[in-house]
Amino acid sequence: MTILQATDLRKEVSSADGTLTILKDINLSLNAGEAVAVIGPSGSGKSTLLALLAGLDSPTSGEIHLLDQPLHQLDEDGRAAIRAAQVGFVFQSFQLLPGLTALENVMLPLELSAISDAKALATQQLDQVGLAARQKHLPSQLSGGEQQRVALARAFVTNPRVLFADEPTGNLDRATGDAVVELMFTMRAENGCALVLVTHDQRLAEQCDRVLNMHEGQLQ
Amino acid sequence: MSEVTLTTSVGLALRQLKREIRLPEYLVLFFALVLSVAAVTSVGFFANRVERAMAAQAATLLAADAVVSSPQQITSDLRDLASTANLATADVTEFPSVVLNDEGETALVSVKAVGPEYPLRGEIRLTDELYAQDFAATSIPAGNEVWIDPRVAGNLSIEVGDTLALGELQVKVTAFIAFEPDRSGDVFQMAPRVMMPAADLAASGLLGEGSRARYRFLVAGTETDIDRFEQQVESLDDANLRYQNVEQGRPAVQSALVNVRKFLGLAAAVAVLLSGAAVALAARQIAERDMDTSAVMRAFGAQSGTVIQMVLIRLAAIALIAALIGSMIGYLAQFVLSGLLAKWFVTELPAPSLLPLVGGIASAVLALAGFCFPAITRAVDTPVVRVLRRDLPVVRPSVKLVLFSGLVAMLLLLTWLTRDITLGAYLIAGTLVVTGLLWGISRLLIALANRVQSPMWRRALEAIRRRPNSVSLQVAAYSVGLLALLLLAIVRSDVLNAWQTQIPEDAPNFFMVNVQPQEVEAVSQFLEGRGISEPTLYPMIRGRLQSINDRTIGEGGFTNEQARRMTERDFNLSYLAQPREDNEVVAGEWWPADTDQPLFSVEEEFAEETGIALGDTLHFKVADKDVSGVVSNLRKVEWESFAVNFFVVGTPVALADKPSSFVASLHVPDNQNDFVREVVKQFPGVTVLEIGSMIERVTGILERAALAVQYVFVFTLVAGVLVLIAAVLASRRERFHETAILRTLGASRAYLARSMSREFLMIGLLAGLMASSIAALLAWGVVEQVMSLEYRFNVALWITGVLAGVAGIWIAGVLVSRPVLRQSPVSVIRSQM
Repeated sequence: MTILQATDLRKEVSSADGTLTILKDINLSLNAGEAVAVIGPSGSGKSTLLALLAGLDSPTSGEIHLLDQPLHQLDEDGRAAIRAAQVGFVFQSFQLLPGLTALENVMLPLELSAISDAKALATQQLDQVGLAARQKHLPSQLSGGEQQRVALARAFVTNPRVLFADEPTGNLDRATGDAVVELMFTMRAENGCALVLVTHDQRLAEQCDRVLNMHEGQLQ
Repeated sequence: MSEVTLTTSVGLALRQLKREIRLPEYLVLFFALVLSVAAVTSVGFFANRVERAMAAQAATLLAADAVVSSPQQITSDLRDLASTANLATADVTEFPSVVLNDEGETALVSVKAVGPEYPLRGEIRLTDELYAQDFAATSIPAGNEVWIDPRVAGNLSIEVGDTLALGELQVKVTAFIAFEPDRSGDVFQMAPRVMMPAADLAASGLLGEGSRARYRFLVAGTETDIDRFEQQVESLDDANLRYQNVEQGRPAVQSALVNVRKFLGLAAAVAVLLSGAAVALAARQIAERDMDTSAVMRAFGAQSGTVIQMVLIRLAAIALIAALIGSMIGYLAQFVLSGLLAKWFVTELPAPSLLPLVGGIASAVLALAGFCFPAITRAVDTPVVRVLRRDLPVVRPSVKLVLFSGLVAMLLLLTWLTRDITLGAYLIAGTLVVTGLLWGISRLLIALANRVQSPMWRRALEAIRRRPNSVSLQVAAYSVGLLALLLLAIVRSDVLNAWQTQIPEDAPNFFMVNVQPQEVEAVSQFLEGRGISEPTLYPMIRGRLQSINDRTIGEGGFTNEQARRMTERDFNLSYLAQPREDNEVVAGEWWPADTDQPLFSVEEEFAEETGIALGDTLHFKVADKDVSGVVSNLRKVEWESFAVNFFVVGTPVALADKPSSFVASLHVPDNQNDFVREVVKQFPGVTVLEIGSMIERVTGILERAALAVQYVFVFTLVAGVLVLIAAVLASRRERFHETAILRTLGASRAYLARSMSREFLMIGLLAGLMASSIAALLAWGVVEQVMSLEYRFNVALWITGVLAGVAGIWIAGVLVSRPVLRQSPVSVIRSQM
């Protein structure tokens, strides 16, 4: 079953030198539970593609259907509603809220979706990533690897149907990065969600079902 | 998905706030608000109490809260009005009469027959013998007894226990009057006082048909009751009745009260304005932080409404807590202050009303709304995709919008605080002008940075050049802080100076009136002989204004009721050949000393109120003769100086041949206790009036005001420091990053510390120079234009301002930036990724 379908996507931005085309002629689809890696050199448009597919940004033209919803026709609040219910994120720079503890960061998406029993669910999730003892720590008191694990707990706590991961190991050393990736794939296997992974790490990409190559704004 | 409930939002927002409140920008915001509220409420509470106390004290100069006077007996209608309004009342009847001693010698006196309740405010002070220690009277004179002015005693050689004939009564003198509360008005027309009980009036047979009595009905009560009574008296529309309350009572007291209110408000306003600057700076940083938070929350599905709701809840919580703590500090502070000042007040200070509390909370909400709201509304405009791409610019609210809404909020607050929209606008305009100027200067400096070759200063200048916006903002903020502090310091020292010099040490404490033309020389010699320096005797002629040009008085043409009253009675004219040094000609020109034209010089406010313009022809009736002349100039008179002054002065040609007496104000040294007695002995017809005690009262009011302002100054000082810290914090984030990169490239900590220190020195010097100079300019504006006092440039304070700017900014900058140098470069670079 296709849960994500992009058709003729194009993204342009205006700059001082005129209009710049970042993405063009993008067509892709993703089935439920499938893992797809998008690899390519820096500046090839990987992150922009991820932002469009996840509904964090809107395309200049083209269509995106995520879980049968036409993202390209929705406004920001409409897209946010879909993200809250069905989508998880893992970012290169973790993006934990500095003012919230590990537990509170994990609780955040549950609370935003008005899911009751947020605390219990979040505690359970933190336990699963091995950070039960660090619930009350602020992000600044955690190591990079720990922060990314909190981010994983936050991404999976709502049982999303799609997980978007943007260079999840980009800010971590090799050993820590490997551990985080292993954890991510384990959790995905348990959860059964689809994955869109943006990376320039060939080794990491190969763990996915499919690898798409991005070059100068186009999928090869 | 169901909607996020308000409870969830509140919970989330408060959890976040609990942690974030410890961040420096939140602390600055919080303390700035607390300070603002504390300043507003303490001044509010204190001013509220002091104003009420002052009003009560000013009331002692009327002996009541208000007086209705009439040439006819007080009607029962009026008495009913007072009784319905729950007012305490007292009757006073004043009329001229003659008393005789046992030897048959006579003296013209001003009799004051008082009811048993007199005075309603203040007290009568008496002495047992001439110039002995005075004491407060506990009642009014008993039946067939009188209290007399010491001058009557001088004229008629009377002592306590002697009897006088007063009309058909033989009355016994039981005390001398040292002070009577409502005596200070109309001093020139007053013969020496004889005070008797009103109950004896009928038996004295003094008030027959056609007697020239003035009936005064004294009332006292709560403010609301007095106001109600005033409205009802006015609705009677009786031309004979003249209503006078404390504010209209005495020009000197009135202008002092108005100035006190303005000055206290001004001091608080400066504290609020400074806090506002700190709030604005902190809000900007908080808004930037919120934009990242907002992007993350929206990535996880938060609706824009939820994001805004959470920001609002956080700010509301901050405002509420700050308002509570600030109000508490304000309330306690005014207690401490009134405790300190207790001995200054004759009576206890009345309890404050709750109104200042409303003002305090409103100030917190207004400052937040004004400075934070535009930023908040942009929080949801941050592209969500910033969670992936930190290099995307954050959406900042338009500077114009923040400035506009902040200024509107400040103007509202300042107007409320100073009760004067002009003063508020002056402060705001000052801030705008400064900011504009500083932007210009910053740009100049940045251009200069490109040319300077000195390797020692080069890096510091480059640091400034690289951040033109941030540095301009810092310079502006520092300068606004400094400026306000300096402005207050200047106004505080110089305005008080101006006030105090208006009533100098040798201020007149006596008036001599009724000096006949033939006595002028002898009196001058007598005064010189006693070492009383250069008293000027001014001629005084009684006259009544008949018409202005062809407009007859009484047929309209007045801008207000007070003006009508001023021209309905005789008033004192004078003539002068040379202009007076203490009267400034503000329009037209003073006449040549030998002019043969009948010309007039009119006091400017009187001219404005009566509608007299330069070039108008005034027609007076003086002793049944018409005197006409053209208004050739308008003068400014400092009534507070207690010198002899006249609304209208003519050329000698116009008035010198009219019947006149002479008047002088003098300063008699304290050790000349026999002054009055000697004058009375040598010049029996001359009346001497003591006004020293009245001046002491007014000076007392001013001193109290000065103390109150010094107290408010503490809040301003703290607010200034907060602005400095906020401004340095504003650039700290950038500095962290920049320093980390430089250190990675091999710059030593000492090298970076030196260049940072030089940078702050330069910013400090710039801000100090600008603030000091502009403060002097603005102070001139406020002092001269708003407060109508004379301003003198204060060089010492200017230099102090520059040095304080350099030192303050350098210390604050170096201290707040220390963590920047301490941080390890790796951790900074990581956290910035």
